[in-house]
Amino acid sequence: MASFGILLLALGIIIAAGLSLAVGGTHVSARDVAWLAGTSDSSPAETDVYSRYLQRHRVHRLVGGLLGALFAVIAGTRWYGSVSFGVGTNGPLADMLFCGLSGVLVGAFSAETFRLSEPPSATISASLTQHAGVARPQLIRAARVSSLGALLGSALVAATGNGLTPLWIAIGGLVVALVAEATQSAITGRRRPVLSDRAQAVDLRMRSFAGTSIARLQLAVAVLTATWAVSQVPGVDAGPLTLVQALAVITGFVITVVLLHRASPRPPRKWIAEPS
Amino acid sequence: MIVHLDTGSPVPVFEQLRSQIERLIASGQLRPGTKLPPIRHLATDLGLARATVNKVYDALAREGLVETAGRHGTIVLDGSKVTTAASDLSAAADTVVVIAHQLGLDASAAHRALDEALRRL
Repeated sequence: MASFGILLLALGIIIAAGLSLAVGGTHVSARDVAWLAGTSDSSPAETDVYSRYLQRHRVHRLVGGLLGALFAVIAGTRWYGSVSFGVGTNGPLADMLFCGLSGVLVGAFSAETFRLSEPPSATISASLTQHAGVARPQLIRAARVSSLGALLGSALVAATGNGLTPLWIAIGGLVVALVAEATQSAITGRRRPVLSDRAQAVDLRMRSFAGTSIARLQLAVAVLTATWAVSQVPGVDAGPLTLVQALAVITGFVITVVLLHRASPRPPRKWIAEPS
Repeated sequence: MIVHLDTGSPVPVFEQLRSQIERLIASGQLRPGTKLPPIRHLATDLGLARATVNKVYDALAREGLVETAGRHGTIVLDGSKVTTAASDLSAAADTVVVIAHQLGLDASAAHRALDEALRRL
C-alpha cells in the first residue's frame, strides 16, 4: 500500500513537471531578456544568447528542484512514513523544501557548467586583467557564517550528549553549501570574451545575474539548515526557550522562502522594462 | 591587456605566453604592483593546462619580473631592466622581410600583411 502511495506521488510530480514544461514555464519572453540585459535594446544575436542562457537556467533548476522534491517524497514515505515542507519532525531528507532547494542548486550548477564545444580556432586570446569577483559577497559571507554557526552549534549539542540529529543536519547543509560554492567558482572562473565590448557586457550581465541568484540560494540553504538544526535541539520543552525556538524556526522559514523567491531566474512581477 | 596564442605556430604556447607577458612588463603596460590573473583563470581563458601557466609564472619569477605572493596572487615587479622589447620587434620585422623575399613578394605585399595583422588585433 505504501509503495502504491509512493508511486502515485512520484507520478504526480513527474506529470506536474511535464505540464509545467509543456505550458511554457521555462519560456523566455522579451520582457525576461530585457530584465537580464538591463536594456530593451539588445541585438538579435545578444537576445538569442540571453534567451538560451535564461532558459537553460530555468530548465536545469526546475528539473533539479523536482527531482529533489521527488527524492524527499520517496525518502519520507519509505523511511519516515510522512513528508514535510519546511521544518518538521522528520529529517531534512523527508523535507520537500530542503531537498527541492538542494535540487535547484544542483540544477544551477549543471546550468553554469554546461558548455557547447567551441569551433576550432588557431588563435586564442585572453585578457591579463583580473576576473570580476563574486556578486553579492555579503550574502555569501552571511551564508558561510550561518553554515558554520549551525555546524559549531550542533557540534556543541552533540558534545554535551544531547543528540546527533542537529549535527547530521548541519553536515547535510554543508554539503549543499559546497555545491553552491562550486557554482560560484564556476561563474567567476569561466572563460570570458575579450575582443568585443558588447560580448563582454553580455557576459558581465549573465555573470552578475547568476552570481546574485546563487548567492541567494546559498544563503537560503544555509538559513534553512540552521533552522533545521535549531528545531531539532532537544531539551527545550517549556518556558521562554520554547517560544524563542519557535520564533527562530518561523523566522528562518520565512527568510528561506523569501530568498528562494528572490533567487528565481525571472523578473519581479512589478518590474517594467525601460523604453529603449 | 590582451595576449594572443597561435596554436598552429612552431613556437611552444609556453614560450609564446612567457614572451608576451615579458614584453608587456618591459614596455610598462603591465605596471609594477599589477596582479596577474590566477593560474586557474588564465588557464581556463586560454584553454591551456594549469601546469603550463604555472610554468610561465615560474619562469617570469626566475627572471625577476613577477613575484608570487601566496594567496595574494602573482604580482608584477619592476621590468625596466628588461630591454628586449625593441630588439624583439626588430627581429620580427626581419623575419617578415625574409619570408616576403622568399615568397617573391614585394614591399607593398609585406606592408599589407602587416596592416592586416594590426587590424586583427
